[in-house]
Amino acid sequence: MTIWARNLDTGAVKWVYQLTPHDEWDYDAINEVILADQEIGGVKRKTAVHFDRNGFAYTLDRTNGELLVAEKYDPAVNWATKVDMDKSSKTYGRPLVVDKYSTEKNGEDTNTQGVCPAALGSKDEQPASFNPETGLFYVPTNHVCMDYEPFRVSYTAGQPYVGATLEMFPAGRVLGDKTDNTGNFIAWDARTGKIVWSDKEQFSVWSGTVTTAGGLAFYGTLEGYLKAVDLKTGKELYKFKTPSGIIGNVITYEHAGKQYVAVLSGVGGWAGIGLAAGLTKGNEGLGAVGNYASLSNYTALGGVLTVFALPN
Amino acid sequence: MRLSLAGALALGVIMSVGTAANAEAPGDPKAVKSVDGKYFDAKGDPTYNVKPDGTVDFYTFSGYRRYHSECHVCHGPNAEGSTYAPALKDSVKRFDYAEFSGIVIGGRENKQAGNDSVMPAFADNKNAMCYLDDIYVYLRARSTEAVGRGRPEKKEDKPAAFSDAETKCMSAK
Repeated sequence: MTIWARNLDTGAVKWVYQLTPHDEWDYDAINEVILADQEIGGVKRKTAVHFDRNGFAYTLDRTNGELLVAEKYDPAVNWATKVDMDKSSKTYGRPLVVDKYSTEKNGEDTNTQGVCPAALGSKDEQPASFNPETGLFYVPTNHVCMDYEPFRVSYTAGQPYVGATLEMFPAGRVLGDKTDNTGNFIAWDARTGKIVWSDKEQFSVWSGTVTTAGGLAFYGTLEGYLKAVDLKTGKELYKFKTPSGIIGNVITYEHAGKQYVAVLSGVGGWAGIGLAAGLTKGNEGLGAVGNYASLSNYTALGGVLTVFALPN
Repeated sequence: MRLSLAGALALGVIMSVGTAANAEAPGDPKAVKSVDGKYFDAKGDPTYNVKPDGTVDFYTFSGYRRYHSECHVCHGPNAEGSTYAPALKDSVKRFDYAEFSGIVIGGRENKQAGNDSVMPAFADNKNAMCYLDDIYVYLRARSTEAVGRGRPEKKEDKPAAFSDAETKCMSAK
């Protein structure tokens, strides 16, 4: 739940920032931290940008750990109202937790319902990317909420240590907006903390993304599409159906003077566990199966590298 | 608590010496009596109770949770087995409560034509030991499909006796 800045040569801690103090929802901050130099409030800052599992995107000054921006990058996020940005406040830098969604306040044996995001986070380990020309971040996201019921548990070395059951479902069920998509591919302005555009995806976007100088962002979908969209508008310009769901990272490279784009397909991971492990019931796979139950209608298991060459 | 665990452990060692062929089959899982929200069959072994509207007793619900935190990584979701551990919804039709307890507490090793499998001993794991009956009654409920796959939708309230026993067992040193 914490970002650590350490001296490369000595390992000494320079600063720390705790994203979800006393985590009650499994929002451990395992995601990447992207370094980008950006102008914020007229000042050029060396920033570190992090899209946390907890649904907030953080922009920090990486030289000293100062918190510059912390905003929700999925409007569904409800476990906290905001991150306190008031430097004179006692709770400065902390998320302001909503009691109704506090699994600790509700306590053992109580099923806390409709918490957004789900334990898999508004984004999990699939990396976002930064495009220096637009100044925006291109972020693969999950649009998923959960019910979370803790129960008493005790630690024994070498044995399972699980203290909650959970079930996940599309965020639309909590928002009441009749949507059932579980993902969005978004462009994010980390200087202001705002979504610039958002493309709905039926399933969580579980691939890494890449952008090019040609003005394109690439990502993959759980149904198996590799997509190219316009960096400025998000308009879909190209898609290709690979043999299996994409949870790999799209890459681009040059060889013998020609540019290529490549991606590994092969569904799996938390979102794809139902399909990969043959599970079918909602609570299985730590609650992921129900949410992605229809995935098997769209893709199959696989493991293929698909490479695209740019035309001459 | 420590004494009764040790007693159960000794029992486990004795029981696991017996072969599967000698295992005593469990009795009819039908609940014939209830004590403080916990149900028992005619032999006096713990069992499940599901009301006509689908409400399960709290012990069965608790067993569902404990099974899916302690057991399912090997034995598969809903007690339906995996490629490397048996479906316990079927196993509990073949051996009784005492043998079940013995295996969980003491562990066991099966060697069959190069297909060796090891069940670790859970004697030191309170998440299993304090809820042994709960897991057993959940498995019995799965063995007859009285409880289906997934989370039981309706459950009885947590009995005071359950809370007392849980607190005592989980806080025992």
